[in-house]
Amino acid sequence: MPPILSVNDLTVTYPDRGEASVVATREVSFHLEPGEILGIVGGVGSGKTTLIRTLSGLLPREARFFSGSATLDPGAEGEIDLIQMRSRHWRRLRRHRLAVFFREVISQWNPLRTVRQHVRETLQLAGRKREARIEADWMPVFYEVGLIEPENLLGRYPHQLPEVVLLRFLIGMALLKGADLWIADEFTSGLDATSEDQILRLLRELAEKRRIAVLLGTPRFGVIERVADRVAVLFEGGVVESGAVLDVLRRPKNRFTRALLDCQPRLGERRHRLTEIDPSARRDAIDTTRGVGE
Amino acid sequence: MPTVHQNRRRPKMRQMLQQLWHALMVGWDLYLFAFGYGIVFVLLGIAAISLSGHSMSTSAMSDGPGWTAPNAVHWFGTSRDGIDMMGPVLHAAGRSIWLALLATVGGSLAGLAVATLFFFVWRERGYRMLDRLAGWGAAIPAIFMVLTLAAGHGAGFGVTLLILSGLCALFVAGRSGRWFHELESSGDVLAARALGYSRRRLLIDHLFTRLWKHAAASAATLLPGVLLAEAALGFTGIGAQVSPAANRIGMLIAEGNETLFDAPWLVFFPGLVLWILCVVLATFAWAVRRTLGEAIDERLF
Repeated sequence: MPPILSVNDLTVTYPDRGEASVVATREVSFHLEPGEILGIVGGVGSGKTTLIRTLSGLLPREARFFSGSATLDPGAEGEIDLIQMRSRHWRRLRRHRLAVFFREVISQWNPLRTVRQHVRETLQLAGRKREARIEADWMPVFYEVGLIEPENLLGRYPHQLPEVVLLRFLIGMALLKGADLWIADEFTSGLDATSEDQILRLLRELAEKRRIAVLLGTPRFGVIERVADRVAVLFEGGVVESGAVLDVLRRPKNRFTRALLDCQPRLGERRHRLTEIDPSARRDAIDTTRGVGE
Repeated sequence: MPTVHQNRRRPKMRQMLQQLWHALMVGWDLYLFAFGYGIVFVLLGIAAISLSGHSMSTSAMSDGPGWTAPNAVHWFGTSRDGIDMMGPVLHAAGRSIWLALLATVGGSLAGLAVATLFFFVWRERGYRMLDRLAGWGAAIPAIFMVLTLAAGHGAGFGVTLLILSGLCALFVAGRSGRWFHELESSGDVLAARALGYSRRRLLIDHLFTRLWKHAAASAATLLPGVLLAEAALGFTGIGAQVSPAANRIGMLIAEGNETLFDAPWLVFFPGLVLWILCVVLATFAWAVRRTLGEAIDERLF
């Protein structure tokens, strides 16, 4: 199956005011197929957010694309170069095909507007003015994402609803506008374990049923294990290891991945303190991402 | 048993005293009100003395060739020409307030407009530039003022308005840059961008709806400072006009300064009115900030 998104050797840097530039992502490569969920795992400062913002066109202007490419619908007649794309084309893409979810769900909602206004705006921006007027058309989608009596929730303000409900509405809005590429950055981090599990299961179902490609950034292997098909482990902006989730989790090739897996807290285990990543594993990871010894 | 009784009462007294001390030390707003009410009482006292027919100390405020010290008829005394000072002082205060208000509102809007332009064109880099400009750019109106003085003419109302508006605009532009930067990186604005909002719609729907609070609070905070700056400019002669009807409070103080020892009321009453206005405007700014839920910088009040 042809991929929907292809990223090749993408390097993004931030200028550091006269000093050496900070390399946020370093020669990152992957591809994403329709209906597939790709997990990007890494700790703080590993470059997940920069990668996600690059692919959703939300990077600050001062960030520079040093090298590489990111292409939507590669090989197709109307393939889109995401790196060279102008801001008005980005807007069009985000209105129709792209859905982006950030961490802290509540902060993604304008506190001065009701849920109804948010849904209506999303549809209007997507050019679906008829659907924006007829609320009855929204309901099957909102029921599909697991909302109970959504018609009674539409008039509420975001602060009046729990985060999991808001997240379900966000997912519903992405379905309503017909986005086929979803990019999520730690979007379940504010949820309790049960709600998170429900949302991840929903994400899995929707990806399979509607052939949605999902790029999911998270610092936790537990999330990836439950939902993703493939995983890429990031360290200091570079991909340390990538492959099918089960392969990487069961037989990690890189020492850094093994160390990262050891650090994950597990239910039933009582540790005096969490395992820290060995500095030599970090050095190995740096060597791998920078191509030393290859 | 009286000792027990006393022992029971002492902690209460101590507690009350502690509470009072705490209110005096921590509740700075109480100071502000006490200050304001103090001025009102002083004014009432002056009015009562005037009405009782006793003129104020004649040794300190002796009658000169044409002037009269404050008395029951002329509360603010009279000028050298025998004109009752209450009318000119209140008139000048009115003009000063209008000028300060005009400069604050105009300057704030101009500053906001500049920051809005930067929001569309230069963004992050522009905000940083604005922030720096607000720091050293304050020198521009000052240089303008020195050049005007050096040229030897006041050039009237417009020059004062221009200088004060320029200062306000610089201040508000710098602040607005920071507000834009903060709001742009907030979650809902990022989410709105991710939905495909245009910059214009982002500004109208997401930024202006929250920016006006900051702008209103900032303008209210600036107002007493601008009034003082206006008085200072008037005192130095900037914006002086030929017609005495166009006098402003700073000019009156400058005029009265020439006869400070012979007719101190010519300085005292314009100064007192200016003081009251500043306190009232500072209280108003404090109330505005508190109503809008803006942070209150204790150094300003």
